[in-house]
Amino acid sequence: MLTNICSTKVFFCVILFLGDIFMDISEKLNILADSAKYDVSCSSSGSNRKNKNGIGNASASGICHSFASDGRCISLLKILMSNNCIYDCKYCINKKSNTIKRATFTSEEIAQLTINFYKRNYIEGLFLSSGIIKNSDYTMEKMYDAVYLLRNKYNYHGYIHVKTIPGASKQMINKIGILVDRMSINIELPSDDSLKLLAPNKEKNDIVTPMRYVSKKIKEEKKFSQAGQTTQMIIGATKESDQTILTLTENMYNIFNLKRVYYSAYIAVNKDNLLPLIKEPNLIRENRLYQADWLLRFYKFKASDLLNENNPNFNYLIDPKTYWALSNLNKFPVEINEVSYDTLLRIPGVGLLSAKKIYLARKYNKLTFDDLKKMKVVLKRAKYFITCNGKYFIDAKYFNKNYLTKALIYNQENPYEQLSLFE
Amino acid sequence: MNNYHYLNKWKNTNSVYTYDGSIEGFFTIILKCIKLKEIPRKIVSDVEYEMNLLETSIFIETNLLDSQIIFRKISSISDFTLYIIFTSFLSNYLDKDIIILKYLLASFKYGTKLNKMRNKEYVINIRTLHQQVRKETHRLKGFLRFSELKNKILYAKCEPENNIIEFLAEHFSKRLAKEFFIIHDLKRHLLALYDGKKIVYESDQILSQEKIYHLLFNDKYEKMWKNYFKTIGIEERRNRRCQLNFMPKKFWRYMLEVKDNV
Repeated sequence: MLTNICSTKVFFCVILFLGDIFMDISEKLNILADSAKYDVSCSSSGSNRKNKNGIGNASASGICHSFASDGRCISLLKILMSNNCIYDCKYCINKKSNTIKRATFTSEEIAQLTINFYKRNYIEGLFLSSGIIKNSDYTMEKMYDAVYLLRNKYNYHGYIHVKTIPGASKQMINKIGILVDRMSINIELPSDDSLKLLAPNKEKNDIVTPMRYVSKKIKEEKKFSQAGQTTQMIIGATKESDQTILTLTENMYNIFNLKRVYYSAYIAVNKDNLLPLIKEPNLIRENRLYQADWLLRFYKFKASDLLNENNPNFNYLIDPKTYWALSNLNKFPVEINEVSYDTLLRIPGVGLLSAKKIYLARKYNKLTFDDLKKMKVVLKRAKYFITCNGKYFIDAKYFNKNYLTKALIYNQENPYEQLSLFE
Repeated sequence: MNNYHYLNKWKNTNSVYTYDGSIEGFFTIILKCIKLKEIPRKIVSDVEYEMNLLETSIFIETNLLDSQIIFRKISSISDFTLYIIFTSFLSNYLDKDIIILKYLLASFKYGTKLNKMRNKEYVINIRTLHQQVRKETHRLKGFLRFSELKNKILYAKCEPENNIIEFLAEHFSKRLAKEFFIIHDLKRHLLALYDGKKIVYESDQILSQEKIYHLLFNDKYEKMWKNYFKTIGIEERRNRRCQLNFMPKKFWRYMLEVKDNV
């Protein structure tokens, strides 16, 4: 009896093992693309790699090749090398204790897919992540094999983005960084406590130490991950305020010189006592955070300008820039033809392009409201905060917080409001 | 504020000039206008022009020497002025010729600093043309799809509104430097052919669609890409409006992953 059960067990193990080896590349692609899709980063910009007697180059501005049903850009072949994982992070679809189909690509398969998709102009390049097999360096070594194959055997000079596996060693990072265009490592959650709660296998240092080391290498070496380093965190799985998240973002940009911090609205792929019962991802909050992120990076705002202890979360009805302006009305209205470029950037509704247009044109002509309209400067919000040649667009008595707040909220097209009416 | 102050010295006439559609032909007409100090009512490529009983059109023969004079004059203003004129000329907008003419005349007077006068109507107009051409080029660099034929040639179809096939061919000749490819502009019946060394442009009369059809095969990578595309969308974030905003339906016809949803 005992020997019968043993041999049956062995028999099934062999079948499963063989099944994994003989899994068709198409099926692997379905499994491993599905497992990778929650890593939202998709940028293919920042590298000016040239073709050297092979195939591929990188376009500095990045190129979007398609757009998915969720409206997100598809620029890279985004896959896991393997969705096997020794960790059991509660929010992750690939966590060890989930019963899902598991698969692993060979290096050759990854290279073949990349080259053939690239040739047909489906993609700008490869985005390679992985679950952790055995340990960090073992996993990264396997990823390195695929990247090495692409660069050296296939002479591929297109874009490659590789995830730094938490806990990776300096030696491993050194090897892989000179072959790829971008590296990223996800901090996953906006605080140490949240990380301990939902991803107890991932030590904070496993994430921060490699991040710090990659920043250092990028600074020191020219050809090392030349499109920089990025990170990602989940928004809404834990209780941090927008202020905590934004301050953390600002610190990471300043300390690690990251190219981007990505936010991913929490989606309940798993059930757990420690996870919130959220039906839909909070896309409005995610959008507000991205708006604030842009203000930090391009409009010279500080996190403390936008949020503080008394006001720790973004307003859902008004965007962060307009909210700041309403809270700082003593700085407005500004005279379009006189103020500095930096001040032009602070006008709600005026973006980088509009500010530039105004800045250039006013040297030669004093600009009027008509001029601004013709130049396609969007005045829907801006008009409340500016004067042209000393004139406000309506009677000056209307320039007060009460009137302006009402006007800005009730006159603006809020797409989220519309959705809730017709859902 | 009178935007046409400089150009007010010129005569606005009722002339309608046609030319062969080439930029040299266009430059020939520009030199003529400068000599006569006139701004005609219409300048149209004879391919686009529809005969009209109410107006007499005059066909201007392309004169390469004349066009060289204009080309050199523009080059002496600045690289950017040259660039913006060449790209705007590729636009399919019907009134593009007059817009470029007015911008050019103002450029001769103000020089390259004209490009900073963003409130002037002719600067706004030419920048709009320029942006349209650049936007479509950038989009098609991403949306163009090659099919691998049985003889290993890569074949792609497109129907660009603007005449941008040269930009596309240049881009792919660097990226796919060792491949053989054909880019087919179905609207203009034009082919860009690349053999791993240089690009050649031909009329598509030399190509038979039947032959192409016989060279197609059941490409497993096409199937895998379609499945990949379906897999990658996150259901909980479905947003058709956003998708259409970034990827207008006019491109879908030649993109295998969405062409069945047109």
